[in-house]
Amino acid sequence: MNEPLLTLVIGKGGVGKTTVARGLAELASLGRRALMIGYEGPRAVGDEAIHFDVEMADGDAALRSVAAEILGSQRVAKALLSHFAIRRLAAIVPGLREVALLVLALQYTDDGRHVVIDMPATGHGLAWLDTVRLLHALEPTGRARRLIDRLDAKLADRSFTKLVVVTLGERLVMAETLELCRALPRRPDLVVINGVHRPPALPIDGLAGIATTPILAGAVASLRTWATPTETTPQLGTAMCELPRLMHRPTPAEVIRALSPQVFS
Amino acid sequence: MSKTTWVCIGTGGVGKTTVSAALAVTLARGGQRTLVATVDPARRLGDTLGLDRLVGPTAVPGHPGLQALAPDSSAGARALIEHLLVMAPSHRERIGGNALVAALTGGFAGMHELVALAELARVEPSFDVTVIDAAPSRHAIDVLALPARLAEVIDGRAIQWLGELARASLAPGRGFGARLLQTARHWIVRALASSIGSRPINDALGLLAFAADVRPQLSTWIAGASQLLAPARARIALVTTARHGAVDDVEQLVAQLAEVGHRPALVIVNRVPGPCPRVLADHPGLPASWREHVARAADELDVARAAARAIVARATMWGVPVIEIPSFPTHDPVAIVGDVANALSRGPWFHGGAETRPSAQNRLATR
Repeated sequence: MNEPLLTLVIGKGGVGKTTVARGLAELASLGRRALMIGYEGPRAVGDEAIHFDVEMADGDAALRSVAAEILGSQRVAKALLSHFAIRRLAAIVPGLREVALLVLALQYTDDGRHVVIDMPATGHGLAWLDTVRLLHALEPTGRARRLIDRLDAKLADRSFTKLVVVTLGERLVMAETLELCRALPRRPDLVVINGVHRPPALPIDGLAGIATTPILAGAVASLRTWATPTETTPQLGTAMCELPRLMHRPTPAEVIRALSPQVFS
Repeated sequence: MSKTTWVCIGTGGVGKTTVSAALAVTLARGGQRTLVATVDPARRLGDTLGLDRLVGPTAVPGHPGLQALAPDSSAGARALIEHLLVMAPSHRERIGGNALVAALTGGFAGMHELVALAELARVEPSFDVTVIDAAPSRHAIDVLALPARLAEVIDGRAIQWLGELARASLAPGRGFGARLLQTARHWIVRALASSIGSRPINDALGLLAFAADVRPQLSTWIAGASQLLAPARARIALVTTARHGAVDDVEQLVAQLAEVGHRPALVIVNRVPGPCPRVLADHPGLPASWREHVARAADELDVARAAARAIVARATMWGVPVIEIPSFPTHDPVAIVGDVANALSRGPWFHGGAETRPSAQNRLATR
């Protein structure tokens, strides 16, 4: 039973995290019951045929649940978090809900389910990681300590948790992804480059003779733009795979096909 | 001239940073003293302008009147705490050994937006217009709502209550009667300390007591950030790309903006390809082996152009000016910024179009 039970899909907003998470959840469902947690909830899968459960990420509920575990009482946790001052204070502490969500997801894996979390895209895609670090720096004791230590151990354990970073091939996005990978507590297990465009190599300059009318000249110029491939991405020292740019949202099956050479290796 | 803050928002990878830089270049060319800043720790603003470090406002070579800024959240947070300690020196010792404060000022990602906004509010008075490159999508909306959420804590009863709780708990040497009055608060602190530990609780209380004592300064600071992003002053440039699914992203963002009292002042559709009419695929001069590729290119370009048209139609329906930026066959960020700036300055929005503010925005501003 060395198969991972938790997959974290990390990356900035709009890079296709949800698409990749769907594929990974479907892949996980081949082996065991799988659950995908994300801020899009069931909307993330639409009307596609899937074989995993989907749950809407609810940071507030997760926070209440974790607080109840730490305080040893649901009623105390509820009373505390609904207090007017504490509630407002908790609203401005960033990353708190995300960490609570992770703790909650760990509990879900206890019954043998594989949980895929479509992590929220906070600025760096990383605020939650910093929050884990912050919680450590505070040197908590008691139940809070045990909870954080368990989270740490599970995130560091490659055979339990898979860290999957999703990115795009554009130069600026890649540069940010390099920073993100450096800031992670350990190397990601997989980097997925989404929307990669690899057109056939067409020597467009040879078409100069054809471009005799403005319409044809425009068509050749458009073709030149289309024939500009996604840049070759730098080696990140970790398993990488590309999801091709498609004219529709990739289905879970298409994602699995693109990822499988890496995921199964 | 009334001050303007442009905030560029959009999902990841649509070219927000490039568009922010280009928008700033365009405004600076128009003779306005322009500051372009990023409030996202990961943004590569410097790369788009050919600059290495942007810790303080940095003049952008080749663009008179334009400065760029990428606030350093660690240095900024420490400077802010130091500034506040001058106002409340009695807290110096306790704050100095406070692990929570040390962690928050040590490059904590969640502090970045707060500090970046504080820094922006401090330097922006010497500029006519500020362009903010925001974090991707949902988070950008959070930045817009941040001053209001902070104000809820600082300006309301919350900080007073928390401050009193902190003071009472940190200085328990009061009479028995006072202690009895504090029973509920003590109970909360005790419950937390037993399950989390007394050190983190004391650190949190120390920070709260400090915050309560410098409330007027914090309040002024939040008001500055609020003003910067207030619907009456902020103009949202919604950046998107011409690709399938982009219309849904745009509609979702507009709905999220409405939740926080904003509406887009400009929609920018980035990377709109030109048409590739079928006459090229059918041209007798085209090598036969290319026909299939050219036909595929024509199909894909059609999908992208249809997406752009759909976004233009939505924006027109909403009465929001929209500008399409062509896609350029290069990967060089600096070169693209120049091209995008040229495309932006041709749009009617730049020549007074965006100066007329839709009445709906004024209505929302009074919320």
